[in-house]
Amino acid sequence: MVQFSYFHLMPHPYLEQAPDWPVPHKLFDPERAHADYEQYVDQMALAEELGFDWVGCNEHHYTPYGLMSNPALIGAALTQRTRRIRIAMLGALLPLNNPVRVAEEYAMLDVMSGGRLIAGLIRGIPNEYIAYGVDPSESWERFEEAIDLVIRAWTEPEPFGWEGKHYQFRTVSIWPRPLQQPHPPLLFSGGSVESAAFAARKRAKIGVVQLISLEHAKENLDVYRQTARELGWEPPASNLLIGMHTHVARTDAEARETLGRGEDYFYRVLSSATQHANELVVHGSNYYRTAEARERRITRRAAHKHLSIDDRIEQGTILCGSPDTVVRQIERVVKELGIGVIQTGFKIGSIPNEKVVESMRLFSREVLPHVRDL
Amino acid sequence: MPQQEEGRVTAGDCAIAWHAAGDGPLLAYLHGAGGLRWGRALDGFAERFRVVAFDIPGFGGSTLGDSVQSIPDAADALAAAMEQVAHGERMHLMGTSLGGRTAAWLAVRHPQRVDRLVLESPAAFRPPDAPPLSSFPPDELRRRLYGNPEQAPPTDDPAVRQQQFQVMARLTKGVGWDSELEARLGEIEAPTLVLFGTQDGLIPPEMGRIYKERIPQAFLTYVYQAAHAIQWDRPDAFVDLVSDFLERGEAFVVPRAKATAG
Amino acid sequence: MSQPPLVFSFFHLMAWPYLEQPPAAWPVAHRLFDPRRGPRLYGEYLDQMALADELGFDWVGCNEHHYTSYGLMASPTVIGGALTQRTRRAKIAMLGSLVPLNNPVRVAEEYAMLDVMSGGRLVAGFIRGLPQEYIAYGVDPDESYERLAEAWDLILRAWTEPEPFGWEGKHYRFRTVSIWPRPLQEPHPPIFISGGSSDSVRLAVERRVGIGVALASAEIARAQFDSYRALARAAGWEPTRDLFFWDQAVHVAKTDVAAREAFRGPTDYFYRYLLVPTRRANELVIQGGYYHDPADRERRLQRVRQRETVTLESEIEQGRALCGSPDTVVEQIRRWVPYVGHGVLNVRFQVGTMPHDEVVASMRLFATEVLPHVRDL
Repeated sequence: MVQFSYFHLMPHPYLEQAPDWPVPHKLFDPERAHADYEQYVDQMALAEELGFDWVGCNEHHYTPYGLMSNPALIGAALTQRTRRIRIAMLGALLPLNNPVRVAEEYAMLDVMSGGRLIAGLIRGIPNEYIAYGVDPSESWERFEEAIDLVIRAWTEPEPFGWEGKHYQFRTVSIWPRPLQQPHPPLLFSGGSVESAAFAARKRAKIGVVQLISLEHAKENLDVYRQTARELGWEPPASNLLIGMHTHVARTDAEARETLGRGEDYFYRVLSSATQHANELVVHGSNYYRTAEARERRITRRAAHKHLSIDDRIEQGTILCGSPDTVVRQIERVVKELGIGVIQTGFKIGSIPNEKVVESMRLFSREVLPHVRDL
Repeated sequence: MPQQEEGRVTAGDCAIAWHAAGDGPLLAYLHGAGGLRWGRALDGFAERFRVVAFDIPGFGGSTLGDSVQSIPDAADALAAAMEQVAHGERMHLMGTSLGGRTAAWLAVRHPQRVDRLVLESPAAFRPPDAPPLSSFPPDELRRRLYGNPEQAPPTDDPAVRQQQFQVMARLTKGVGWDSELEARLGEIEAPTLVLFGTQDGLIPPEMGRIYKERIPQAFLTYVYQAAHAIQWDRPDAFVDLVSDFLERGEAFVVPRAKATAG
Repeated sequence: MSQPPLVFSFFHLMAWPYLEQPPAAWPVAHRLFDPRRGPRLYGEYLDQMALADELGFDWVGCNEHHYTSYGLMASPTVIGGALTQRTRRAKIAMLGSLVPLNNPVRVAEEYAMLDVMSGGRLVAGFIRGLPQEYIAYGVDPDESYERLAEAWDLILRAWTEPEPFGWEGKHYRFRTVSIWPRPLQEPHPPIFISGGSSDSVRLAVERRVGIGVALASAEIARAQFDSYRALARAAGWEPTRDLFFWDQAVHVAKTDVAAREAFRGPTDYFYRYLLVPTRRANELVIQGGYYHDPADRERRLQRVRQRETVTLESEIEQGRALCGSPDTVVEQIRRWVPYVGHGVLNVRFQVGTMPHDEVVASMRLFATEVLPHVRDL
């Protein structure tokens, strides 16, 4: 069985050209953003009606790329607009925030939603470290310590203190605590072999959301599975998630046209803003703990940005086409990677909201029924 | 290392050896089953307190009288020693592992001897299915004890080790879960700080909750990246945190931006 | 001088009503929180807030507390996110994020999200936080005023600077800030701060923002607002009453007797089970530098200790509660508004163990038979 997540970046797609990061917020249009937030939340509520299994969003700072400085606020909105769908925070940038507060917010969401939270805890892409003034060289250490602290904050029955390297609390006793026992399922990003192995060690779900190529994803997912087995457990397919930009239209050509323009805007304008800042951080710190990891990221990402829509379709990293075509694309990716959750992103770049919704409806009617039981 | 003094006092049918250094409020210390090891942490405490480390009956320079057949008996002898050394005054009391279990008994049976109580990885409650300590080969034991083995003291001579295990067996009667103590934790009057390292391989750190639940004025703190021997794995953090608690008691939960006075 | 119309703010603490005995201390062990009862509880509380919007309350508000059965909102902005979906007209009053305890840039960002999501309905509380919150998040209470003042400046800049900027502060350092989104309201959302001490009143007057007083008698509220008024006048301006909010617990029923009977138990639970256990933690922090003015310190310590002896009668008499038949409550409001001089009535209907249907009945009675008679005061 394959599950489908409806993911939203909540972009602000009105700039003409690629700005540098951080982007001056005089370029932000609050009225349009208000309308967008309403539509975006409506889209996520619609995802439940249309049969998606999860709905998800994430955290970014200082950029039109995504307007959720704290995804938990959107999570809270979703607790009021949905009843059954899993609410996936993908997620708090843990090393940048107070881990106890993250634990508290997630606990609130889990209880408010009746136990539907998927607790993604994310290390954060390099530029976010500039945003909050945290040393990126410490990101792994902080991340690991904070995860331990979050889990304890959720599960310790008695108040406790935490004397950590990066975090110190004399006493912690969060109210509320989560509904799901022992705690909401964890999900970590698996964009590198290091992070994939880490996710397996922590028995978390793994998400490869920047899909550069199917082989790259397979490499990481294999490391995840292998590491898990060495540690004595077999991850179910539902532990493995990949993220794919998605557009379904009546014909392949129409879909390529729409998503092609969306991808162009997405890469050329929205995500290029962070590129310079990311490079500063990656070159100027030990955000990546090994030189290989650093090099891999830089070369792979550089190549990936400039692909055409046809390249991406051929590589199998996006879902784009008529319903039949998309069904086959999903079959391919499930077969090659063995994943159990596909995270779809429909609002890509500047694709108009009406087209996003049309595409969602088509997906629900004519794709979902044929791929659920893969 | 600060100047050390040594001495001995008589407590019933035991001779109790003590080793002291530093100046300031009195801090009594009870070692773990590996005997007294004076390292960076105790040196750190000696900069703010007068640290008086007692050898538990049967360890180091302390004799094991016939009257001492249990941990509570050992606690009684040590309480008598504390009274003499402190001339009747209260002392802060800190115990590590087996010494933590002993210190807890002491605080239960002799509340008038104890000011504030610190239990470092106290060994009063080991889950029934946990393998006995003597079953671990030395390398494995070391791994479970120390998160940072390069900072650990050298391993003891096997003969000494053997002797220590025997004393421990006699005092604990091989009982890993001290239910008598558990039932009496509620009688501890002293404000108490319990610390466990998140990587403790001998006693699951979650055992800390038992003390927190039952001791009326207790605080539980997890020390990250420390195993069973917290004061060897993270000596500076350990000294700062515990000193703050000893100086301010329950107010130690109120943050102070300035560092604790040295 | 003509005063702006009264503002009725429906405020919620979101307490845990199921404790079987008063906890011995703060923090309260969270094994006493039964998560299975949580979803329904939050559901009822949010339903009450949605109803307040429907019934015509001007604001719906909530606040931030940690590690306690007293209030289940570790993050008020998370509730704010929920409120953007359940309210249409009422302002969303975050009263509020604890500014000295959180990352000020994040506070600025969250408030901006709420303001844009709600179409410009945010009231931005910059709250110093109850004493025990300083233990919760490990911040020196002695620094709270300084941190509040610096964070405030930083938040304002984060909201209004057109270009990215850095901040090299004493307590906060950011090499670059440029929040997306920024707020909808121009120049920015209205700001309120807690006004329980002489230092905070001074700060509020300097910056011309409103102050709030909570869990305080009419005497104390009046004294705080009077000192604000005196300072403002000395600086040459006249504050309008909408700068003053005062928090009161409310229960309306058909008769005075019925109202008191219904409110007595909840009030007792509120004090004995929810508030009194925080006493020791409060004392520790108050003694640890939370107030700089010794008079403030003494008074607060006294107030904390007095909570052991509260009765419903003393609550009503001292103005901390409005309780009775609709006529009686109208009388009480008519008495307090001129005496205290506040313009925002921050009213709490869900108190202690009061069950949902009683809260709702009281709210409806208030809306239909009290509000119309006091709106024009």
